[in-house]
Amino acid sequence: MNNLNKIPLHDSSLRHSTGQAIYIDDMPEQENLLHGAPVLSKVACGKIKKINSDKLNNLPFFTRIITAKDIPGENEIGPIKNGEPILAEEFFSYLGQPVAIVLAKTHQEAIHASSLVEIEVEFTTKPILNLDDAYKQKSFLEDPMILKKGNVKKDMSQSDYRLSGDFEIGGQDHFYLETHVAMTFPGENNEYVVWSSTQHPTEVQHGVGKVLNIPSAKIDSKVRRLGGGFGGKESQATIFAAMSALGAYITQKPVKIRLNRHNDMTASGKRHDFKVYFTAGFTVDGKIQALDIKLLSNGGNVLDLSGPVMTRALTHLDNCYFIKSLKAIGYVCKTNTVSNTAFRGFGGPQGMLAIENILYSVSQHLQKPIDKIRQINYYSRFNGLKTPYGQIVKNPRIDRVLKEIYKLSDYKNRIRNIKEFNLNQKNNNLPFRKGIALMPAKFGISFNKPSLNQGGALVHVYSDGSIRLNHGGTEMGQGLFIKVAQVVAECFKVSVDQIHITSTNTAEVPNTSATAASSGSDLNGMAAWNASNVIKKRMVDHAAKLFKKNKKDIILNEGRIVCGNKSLSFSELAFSCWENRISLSSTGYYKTPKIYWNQGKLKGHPYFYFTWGAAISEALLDINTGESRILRADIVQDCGNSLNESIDIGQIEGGFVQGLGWLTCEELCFSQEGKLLTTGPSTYKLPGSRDIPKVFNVKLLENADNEEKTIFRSKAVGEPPLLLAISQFLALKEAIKASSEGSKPELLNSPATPSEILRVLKA
Amino acid sequence: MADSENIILINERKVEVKNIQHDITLLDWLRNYNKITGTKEGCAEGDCGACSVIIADDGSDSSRPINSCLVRLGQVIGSSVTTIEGLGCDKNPHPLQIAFTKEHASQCGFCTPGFIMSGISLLNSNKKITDDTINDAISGNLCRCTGYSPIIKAIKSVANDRISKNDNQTINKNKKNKLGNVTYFKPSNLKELKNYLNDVKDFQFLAGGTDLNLYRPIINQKEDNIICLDSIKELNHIKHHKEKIELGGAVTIENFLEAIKSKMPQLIEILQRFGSPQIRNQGTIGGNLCTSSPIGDIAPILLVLNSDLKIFGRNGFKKINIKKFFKGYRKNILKKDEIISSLELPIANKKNKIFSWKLSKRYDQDISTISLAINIQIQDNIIKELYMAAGGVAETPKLLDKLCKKMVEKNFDDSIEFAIHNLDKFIQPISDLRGSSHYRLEAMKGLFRRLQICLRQDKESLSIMEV
Repeated sequence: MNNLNKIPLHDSSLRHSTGQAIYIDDMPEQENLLHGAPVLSKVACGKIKKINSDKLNNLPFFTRIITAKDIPGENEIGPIKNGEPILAEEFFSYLGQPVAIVLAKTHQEAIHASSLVEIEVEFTTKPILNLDDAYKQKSFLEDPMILKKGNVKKDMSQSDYRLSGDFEIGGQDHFYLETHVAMTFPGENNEYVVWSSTQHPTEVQHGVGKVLNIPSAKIDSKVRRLGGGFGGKESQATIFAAMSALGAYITQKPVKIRLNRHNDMTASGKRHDFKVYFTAGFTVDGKIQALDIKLLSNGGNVLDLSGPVMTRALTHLDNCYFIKSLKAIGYVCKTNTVSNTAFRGFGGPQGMLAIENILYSVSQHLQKPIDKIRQINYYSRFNGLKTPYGQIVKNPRIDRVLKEIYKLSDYKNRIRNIKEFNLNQKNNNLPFRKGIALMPAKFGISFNKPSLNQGGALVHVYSDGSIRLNHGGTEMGQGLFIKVAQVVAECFKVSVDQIHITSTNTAEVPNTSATAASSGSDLNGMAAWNASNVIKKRMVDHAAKLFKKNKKDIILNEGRIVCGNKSLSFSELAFSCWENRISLSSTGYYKTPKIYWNQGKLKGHPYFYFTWGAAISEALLDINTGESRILRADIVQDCGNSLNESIDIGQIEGGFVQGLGWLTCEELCFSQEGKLLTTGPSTYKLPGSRDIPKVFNVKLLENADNEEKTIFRSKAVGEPPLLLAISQFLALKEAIKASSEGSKPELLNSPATPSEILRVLKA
Repeated sequence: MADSENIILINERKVEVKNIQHDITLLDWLRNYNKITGTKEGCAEGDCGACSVIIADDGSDSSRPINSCLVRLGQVIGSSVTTIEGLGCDKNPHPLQIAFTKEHASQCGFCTPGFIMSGISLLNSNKKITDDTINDAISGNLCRCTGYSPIIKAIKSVANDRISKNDNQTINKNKKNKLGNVTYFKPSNLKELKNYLNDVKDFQFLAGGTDLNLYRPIINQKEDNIICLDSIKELNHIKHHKEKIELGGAVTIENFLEAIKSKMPQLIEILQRFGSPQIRNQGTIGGNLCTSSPIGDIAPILLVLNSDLKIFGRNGFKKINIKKFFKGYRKNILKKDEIISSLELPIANKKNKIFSWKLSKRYDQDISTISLAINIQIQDNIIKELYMAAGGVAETPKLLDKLCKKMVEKNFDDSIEFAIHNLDKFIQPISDLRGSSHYRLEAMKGLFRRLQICLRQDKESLSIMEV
């Protein structure tokens, strides 16, 4: 495939670099535009008595306050279940919950005015702020989810060893560099155009429609690009888009809502923190016979996407391992914190960290290397290939991935060198320790809910031969637009520069799914291919007529339509098609085949295919201070037949570093009242450039065509690399293990901050 | 004197500052008033770097990167500002802009202009282009997409392609500007400052503003007066004496770093980890001391070096020792009309060893959880002289003089063991979002272990970054 081999750059890269790429806050502002800022609650749990905006009257500039009472439709944007208001009406359920919006003529005036609104509270109740409290009080957002396989009771009792334990997995703020932003323009006849930084324009359209009580057909939801999404703008963007639309509805003026960083971090959802309790039964060799596991996830104040997040956690806690008998119960806990949401990996990383922590504890218990424990538990024809949820792992690529990663990382030699290093440090009374660890990964691709696995595209060829591409996917930096453009270019055999990429827009492609679950290029690439193919067939038919030949003799090649020794340029043929009244426009549609799912039983075939990957990380630790860093990382990732290797490597490196942040330095701190204290980069530390491994090798698995018929046999890449950073977490445990005799690395919770590491070292 | 018009040079174009309703930041002015939108707001607290621009002052020969979100517009009137748009556009891009494209150094692209401005600052400097200098140059910039490798590669790829830019235009700097309800006074020497101190009522001093501007009201509803200290020539002096270095109170942390590099290399690490280049180029020595934060990065080292401060006020100069400067949480002895005019940093005795350590969640651009500075002299394994000061363990940067007294004139190994086992009697740190009291105490013990190893094995430092 020509266009794939050339590896085109991200379509916006030069405009990113010159500052000419337009984000929503950069768009020209109309003279009459109003800016909105939310008023946030100052208590986590209580009944609202009065919203007092008297102080706004003394301001020397225009303001307008909007509360839930002003909502013409429903105060409701729940993506799955109802009960999720955009503005609190009677009760507060977390500290930081929006209760009103203040409009003014400038952003500064709106922010200032919003701080002057006072909320009188009738009473407050004690908030639930942690998972154990929620569990004890049976405070859940959904019925517990139970995934069962085999006979846990029997296999547990027959195991050589049983081991119980618990651990915590921290949350994570998305920290997209562009905070939530939306701008709505009112039009005639109740039409609204909503520009928002969203991964899910259709949900914005639905949410706005519900809040304004206006049918979807009157609402155009658009986005050209996001300044980062990572799941944080999948459902959450709807809240702020709906706020701007509400302001536009009431004032009949354009209204922009752009959150400042503090409000964004306070009032938008994050990665779910988890607490895990387990009992594992295993043989003397470490083969897991039975696993009884309880996952508590922090859903926050409302459900949002917490149900599917738990489903993915449950269906990923097997990772690469065949577990004979399993009983896993997932509790989505209701707490008085901001509702947690999608975040790259969507519960998968938490499920996989759980099983890796458990295998580590087993290896500690048996005094064996974790790799030995893994080796006898991998999915294989010998062990078994059936997942706990019933899907068969058809073609495990574990062996291939491991073979590559061992070679790439020089694993065996380094294990030996690190042992020597640690011994040397110990003997010389020096404080440094190293650890090295592997993380193998299998990740299921498809939304767990089958209905979401559909995509649409709209392709126009114009009479000058230029091609306009539109599809349901959003560009949040992952290079989706260029990948889909490559697909179209390949279909027409033209240069990718000939494809004009356009903003995502519900008016052009309706009823879209979120750009999420790593599915963007699978769904939209295939839809765009189908749309292009319809047009191409018509053009080829017409060319055959022109050349008076069979259409089988027509070849498309490098922008020309060739038939024997005669040829036409693509633009000449396009013009001729127009002249002869042949349609040069088509929609395209794709739905993922083969998938089905019973959510009640948690059984079925939810994933079209699996991606495979492995990472080996080397950690360095100062046992005096708990400081740590990553020295080297090697990664092998299965991207199938990659659509764009450079883009995919960017996803892998970036995802891995984001995972490092989740597991090491990013820590969300709440006060006892439930106030998030880490609301900016001065207190919430994501990795900086010195925190990446100095040696960082990334390799795509070669000759790895997807066994399923995906677009050019490629595989998804967005989420899986993030959880490979678990290798560093395990490497830190190895370094802790090397600190002294009797150390207890299994106690390490994530994130492994210096403080947490020192706690474990002193335990 | 009638003020002439207020001008800022943006990308070599003169732009008049007018019709400003409120006291706003440079960032807001660029984006909202001039629609120059390549410069982004990522955090508005100087920690993400998306708003980085390059600023040059009339008469100053070196341009420098700053966070435009942390600078009030009133501070930069008369300055020259270069934004991403000033480097090039898609029709005529700068080599670094091309390099970012070729190396896939942007994904969502929101942080990209800020990174390029930091990269340009490095290319414009006379520093060698290495991984280390690149990491330092971009330590004030956050990227959430790429994982940084391609960004580092992009900057490195144009190391031989440096383009220096000179701003020759000079613009008039007014002594007084008014923006909204805020009036800025800009004395250029101490005499003028004294006049303002006598004439202006209800004022606040402002040096770099990297801390104070975080607490700036978004909209000033009452009249405010600000006296800017950064243009006062006496406060920008650096004088090297035989036994001390004298640094003006408005000397930036970056210039402080340059000034001590050869004479006091033990201070390099702590100053290099002070904020980011954007912060260090804006923040000043006087400002850092006057915030009097218990976790201020430079106070502990100044305490153990027994530095003197020169104070200037309406009644002239006075000199005090830094030990007497801090009074309580974010409080110091300065009166309303007093400033730190200079710092006298004694050059340590060659027989002494100096250590200065900081622990934080992240190595770069982070506020310390705890810090420890040590000035020690040992003869025949006996501590002859010892000064220690810690940050993050009390309401103020704390001189550990009681502990030092217990340790001098004794075998250093025994003394350090004593300190480790009795530390909780000397410091009682609190828990907060940067660390628990338990961690602070245990980590401080860890730093004493580190000291022990350094002394036993004659090591200069024992940083995890050096392994």
